[in-house]
Amino acid sequence: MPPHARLHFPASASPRAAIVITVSDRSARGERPDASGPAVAALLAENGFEVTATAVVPDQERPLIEALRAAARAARLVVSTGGTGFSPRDRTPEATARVIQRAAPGLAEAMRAAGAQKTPRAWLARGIAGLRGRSLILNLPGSPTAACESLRAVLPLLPHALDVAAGRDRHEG
Amino acid sequence: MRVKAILFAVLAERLGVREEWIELPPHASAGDVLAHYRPRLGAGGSILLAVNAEFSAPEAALHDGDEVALLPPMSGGAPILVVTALVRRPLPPPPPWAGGVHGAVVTFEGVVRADADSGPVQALFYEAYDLMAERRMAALAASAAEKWPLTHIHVLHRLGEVPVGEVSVRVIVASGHRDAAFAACRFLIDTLKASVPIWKREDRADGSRWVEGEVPL
Repeated sequence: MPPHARLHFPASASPRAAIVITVSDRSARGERPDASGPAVAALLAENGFEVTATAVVPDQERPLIEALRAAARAARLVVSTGGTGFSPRDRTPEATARVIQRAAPGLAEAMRAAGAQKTPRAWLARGIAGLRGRSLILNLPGSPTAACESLRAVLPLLPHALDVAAGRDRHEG
Repeated sequence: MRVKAILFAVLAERLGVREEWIELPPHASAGDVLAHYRPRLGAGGSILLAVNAEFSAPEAALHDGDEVALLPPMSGGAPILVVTALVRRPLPPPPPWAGGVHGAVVTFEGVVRADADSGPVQALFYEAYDLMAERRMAALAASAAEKWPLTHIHVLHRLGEVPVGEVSVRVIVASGHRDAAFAACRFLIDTLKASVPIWKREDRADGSRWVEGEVPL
């Protein structure tokens, strides 16, 4: 953590607390709507997650690293959208790689595979997934449609994944 | 110990030094390199430190042969950190500053107050057009970053019910200079209230009403 960071999100003890981070240079400049953050938040809420905060971060590695770390301290699920493509400014996977402690490549592959059923370009999504402590971080693509499709592909896995990550197996309810 | 100091852009020009080895006492820290140049740099300035090409706190210990960079504000005036967020939970108290790199920090907190024209308020309820609000808040932060030499912008707005006494909006702005920090904070809270699509309802014991005058301009 850089020495001057002072990011904070409200912490929630809820095992289904989620924070959505929209990574978008365009969005941060306000030039064009980036609908994926709220769309992803709505999809999470429909599926039993409590979205405690939604944030917008410019697509620069340092702000993103700090936002991801702060979010992982405050919520068990952290979902980013955007910054996963091939443009030189797309830095989300690199930032995420510096934040996660254990990779969960299967989740990223499942999201790409689901997207690839619609368009082969889904294979160009560079998003990663992994755990920081007991919190799971997922990188979704930037477009609202692709972001929601990717999330839907792994949503059924998330409750069990989060429970196991928290050290609770399924018998303990 | 000997460390290599490197200076960039305006700092290099002002001091006529781009790179040199300097002698420091044992157990010196990164901040000592800044202190070494401070008399010639004058006061103020949002100077960041990097040790061996990583951002560093002034108290970070140095080792013989380290490379210590003095970094003036990055080109484009890009702040170090811009985050805007809509939050559906009570805001925690902000963590303490560490590192001492900012110089001037201005925090504004809007707190829900009990008194209103028509009886005591129990809570405010905030509703947003969240997609547009997120975009507007991010745009405001970006324009503040263009106008002033800032190092940190954090804008948080609560949504949903916020009881009396709780913080409903928090703007934190940091800069090397207090004038910039005050001006940017003032700009952010004023513009946010006038142009971000967030509405509030006053909830009182005898009913509730939407407050007019905070629709987007």
